Amino acid sequence: MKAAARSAALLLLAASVSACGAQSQFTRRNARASEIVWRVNGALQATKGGRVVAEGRSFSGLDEAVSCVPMARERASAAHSSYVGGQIATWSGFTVMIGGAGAGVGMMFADREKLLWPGAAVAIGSAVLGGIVAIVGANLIAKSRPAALDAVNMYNDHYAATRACRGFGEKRPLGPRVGKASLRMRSSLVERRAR
Amino acid sequence: MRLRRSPLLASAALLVGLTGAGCLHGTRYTPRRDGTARLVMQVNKLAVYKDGETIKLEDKPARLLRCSRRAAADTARGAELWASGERLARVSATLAALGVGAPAIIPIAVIAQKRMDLGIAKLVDGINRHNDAASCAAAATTRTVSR
Repeated sequence: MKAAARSAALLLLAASVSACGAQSQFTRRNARASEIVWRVNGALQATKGGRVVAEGRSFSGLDEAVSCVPMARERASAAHSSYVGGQIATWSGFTVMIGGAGAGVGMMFADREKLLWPGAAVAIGSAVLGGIVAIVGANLIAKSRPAALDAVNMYNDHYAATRACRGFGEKRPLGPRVGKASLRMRSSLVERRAR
Repeated sequence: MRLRRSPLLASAALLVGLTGAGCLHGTRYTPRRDGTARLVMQVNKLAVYKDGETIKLEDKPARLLRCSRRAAADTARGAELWASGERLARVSATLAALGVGAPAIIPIAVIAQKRMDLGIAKLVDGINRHNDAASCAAAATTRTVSR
């Protein structure tokens, strides 16, 4: 009884420690409005102009945030889809493992003379198959983070030079706008002064 | 005997191959050398990239961000926390292998994960501080001009 209470208390402590995730203490002040900045709030978060654009481990929404840079969008979509595919594969693998083990043991107990070896084969086979599928899933999940980091680095390097990104949340620079007309006026003034 | 052994060996090799492939993820894109610090990944480990140099979190990347004292301090703390988290994770894995019960292992594993997460948060803070610091921007400009 005491041991059970102690383990329950330990599990409760562990759960409470894990519940409050790590957080970033510093927020960037000089970031450009269109720049994507990483922060941590339990998991990595991508922020743009102080707004969270992609959250959690699935990086959903990142492809939209970087959509004006095609190669970044491609990597962001890859990050999201590999996370989702990985989750499906991992859970399917575990389900096959547990279900197969249950079915195999059930067969073994149902008829010990006839179904002992077929039951063992089902249990072992499903454990191997489920294990492989789960590992493939874990592999896909592990692929998603580097893809998301690539997407953000590609976007931050190329958005300023990409025409499609103009006006993509960028703040106007302070001071008067220097357009072609004002440049022409300036050059004519310089010419007049020179005369 | 040979016939029975070969599918077993093949599945074991497949498992090892898949697990190995899972350990070899990293970023493919090389960011620009513009003096800003970037978060990248090398062999499944988070790392800092700056001006062509990449240093993993466990290899103490603070020296890359030394143009800002606070950025370097944050990154150094992040590396410390990450290292201690990894040590604790190894302890919990050893205890599990020795057959110690879950009530003893779970809290250690949770604290290990928590420390590693804090290490990542500190690393991200360090990178953000570096990219915000005027001293680092000035150093980057000087480097570009001298090139």
